[in-house]
Amino acid sequence: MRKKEILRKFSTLILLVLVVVFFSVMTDSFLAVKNGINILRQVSVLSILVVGMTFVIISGGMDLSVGSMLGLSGVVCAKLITEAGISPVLSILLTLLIAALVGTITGILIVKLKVPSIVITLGMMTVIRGLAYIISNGYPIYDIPDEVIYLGQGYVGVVPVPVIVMIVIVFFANFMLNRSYVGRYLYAIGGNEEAARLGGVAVKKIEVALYTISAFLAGVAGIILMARISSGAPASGTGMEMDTVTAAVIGGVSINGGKGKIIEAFIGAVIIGVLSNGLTIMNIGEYYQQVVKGIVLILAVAFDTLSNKKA
Amino acid sequence: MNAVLRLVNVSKTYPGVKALADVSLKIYPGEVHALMGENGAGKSTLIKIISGAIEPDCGEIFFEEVVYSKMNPILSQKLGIGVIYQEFNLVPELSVAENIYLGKKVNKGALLNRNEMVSKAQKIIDEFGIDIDVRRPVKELTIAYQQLVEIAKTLTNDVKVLIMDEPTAPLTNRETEALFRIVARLKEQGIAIIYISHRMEEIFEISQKVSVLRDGKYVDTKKIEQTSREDLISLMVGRTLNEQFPTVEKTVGSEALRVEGLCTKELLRNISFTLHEGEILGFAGLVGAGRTETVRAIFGADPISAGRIFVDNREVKIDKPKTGIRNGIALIPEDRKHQGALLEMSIKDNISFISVADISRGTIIDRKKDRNLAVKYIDTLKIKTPDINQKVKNLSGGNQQKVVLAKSLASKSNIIIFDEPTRGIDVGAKQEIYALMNELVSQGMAIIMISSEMPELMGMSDRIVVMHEGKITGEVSKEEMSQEYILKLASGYKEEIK
Repeated sequence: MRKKEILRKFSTLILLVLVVVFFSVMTDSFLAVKNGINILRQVSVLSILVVGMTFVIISGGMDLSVGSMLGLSGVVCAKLITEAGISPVLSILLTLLIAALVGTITGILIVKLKVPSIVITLGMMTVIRGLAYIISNGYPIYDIPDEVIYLGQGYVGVVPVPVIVMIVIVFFANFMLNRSYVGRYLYAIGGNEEAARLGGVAVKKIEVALYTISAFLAGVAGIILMARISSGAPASGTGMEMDTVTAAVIGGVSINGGKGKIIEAFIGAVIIGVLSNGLTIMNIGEYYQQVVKGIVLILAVAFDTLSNKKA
Repeated sequence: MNAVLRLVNVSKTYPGVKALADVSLKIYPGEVHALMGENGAGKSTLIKIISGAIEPDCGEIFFEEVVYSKMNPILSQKLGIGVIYQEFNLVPELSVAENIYLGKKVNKGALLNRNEMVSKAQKIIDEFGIDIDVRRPVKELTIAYQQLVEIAKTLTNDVKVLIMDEPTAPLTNRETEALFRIVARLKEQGIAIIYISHRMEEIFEISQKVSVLRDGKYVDTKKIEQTSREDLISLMVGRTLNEQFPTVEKTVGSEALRVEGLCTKELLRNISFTLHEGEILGFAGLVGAGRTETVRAIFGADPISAGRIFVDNREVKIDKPKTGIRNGIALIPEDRKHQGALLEMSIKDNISFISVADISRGTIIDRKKDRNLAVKYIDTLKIKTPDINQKVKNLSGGNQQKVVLAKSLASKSNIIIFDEPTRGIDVGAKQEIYALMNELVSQGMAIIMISSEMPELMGMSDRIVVMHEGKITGEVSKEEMSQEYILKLASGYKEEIK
């Protein structure tokens, strides 16, 4: 009983350890500090998205628009810097503001129309992607200045800048979800919305705020991604929303709402990164990698469901 | 003539509750047999046993003189027992004909013979003397017509016993008349009808016999011409007050809450009453009378269409639960699982939930205060748990209810509304909740209590407001309280009494 409890509590971490051990045994070059940092850099964009997604899913919702927002924010930021001639700092702030605003609109639509969030965000996903293409005319925007590129490619000591941004966001979000009362409200809304409302929670306001935060974080991730690939590309982030949901679910976030932790969802993102990295080192192609990721998702969920049933 | 359905010494026990004890009943063909009793008297359990939805612990069921120790849903259907539940089993998108023949064979080879199905269905509906095109989807019909489709559905089975559970509850007066004509027609065809209703007028209008259940026990069966309203009411409530209610000296203080002319769009009409500090005000009424709706509207859970609310003689505008809470009102909802407890969350997180913003610095919860609050209420309410971090879903019903109470008490309210606070919990926990309520009023708080258990309501309340179909039909002081009087008011007999 006790053993089972521990197993369940740390199941995501155990899965990560298993995957790491597997690749360490199977390859020579996987287990190295440099590769570890490399993996963290690779998952930084995904992890930032996962934070927003975890908030939304815990409250019982779903945000499919984050992948498109990644593309839009990269394009908008690049356009502001290169063509509008606005200073990089101001451009970044403006981009984040626009991203947040779009998220607020998404949130208001969900709350006012009373349509499931998965449907509204599916619509927004298409709208936002379309906007990204319109703004960029369908072509990537180059000539990003070096100080902005630094956000995606720079280092502080040995640590890449995106990793620092990711760690700050993950730890701050984890702290707020665990320790602030708003965090507690999120779990309540996802677990039992009516009880939360009767408990005095302004459910609608919080829901709007959540989609705003999710879009804002997608904006942050989008700017980092743009800096990393040195261009604002309208197609970037296509399909990322699914990777984000996958990471959250591998990290034990319940798709039914009410359950999940930021830190574990983050580990879920790292597991996906480790899989990509390790399989690539093993010379296993992208097509096979997709199959493996899908299987890991199903296994993680199956383990979670089965261990919950027994208890 | 032999009885078509005969129950002999049927009993059913749920953990902690004797739902039915040794009930025997005879139902004859071509009669409308009314079944009456207060909420929780065992009517639902009885019909579930007849239809096979649940198994009796002991007793025998004779159907056309063949004995069965238990039914099951397929067998009961095959024998010709049909049930019209309060909630319909219709597929809204399908047509009337398709619904009537849902799951039944009207085949021509492997294909559905649509024409035959439509003409057969139309014939059944026409016999009702109503005008519905059976090719229309069910979702386009009114509730009353949907109910008739339900009835038609059971009739395709060559039904011999038709059970109707409060069929008129959702109907208007004219729709009710149409239903009664159909019931009369079915009766002439020799079908036995078991008719459950709270409405006295109906019982006297359509039934030939009436059987009364009380506390899971069979009380009596009367021919309708040999009984009266008063007779039936006393049969229904005739138990003695065997529960012990702690009596306390109360000092009723100043006015805590005044409601004037409260209306809602759906149900409530002109609800007015006052509540004082140190007082327990009871709300009596049948299911659907509007008691829960009243307290929900006052708390801010449902919108108000008209009326004024005064807290401590100050008019307040309450449009959401948050403002209700801010004005010192706490609601302990009737539906514990869906509205009260946060089952997936810990006891600690539940207890501090409403007041959590008050024990936070900025938005960060003060963990020590959070813990202390939980420990304090686990102690005062004697919540049995090894750990404050235990998930609420792992607790027993009584302890869950205490957690819900603690959540509201911790919010430091002065007006506390208990909606069916003792439903589904055992006797010991009930006593604890009574004691707690008395403790709260002795501290000067004002309590509203809704309960469908008369002895409990009369034992605890200082005054009782009685409701019927969204209106207040009377207010009863401690001296005037009697079950007969309250039940009369609850049945809507305002004028006859005073």
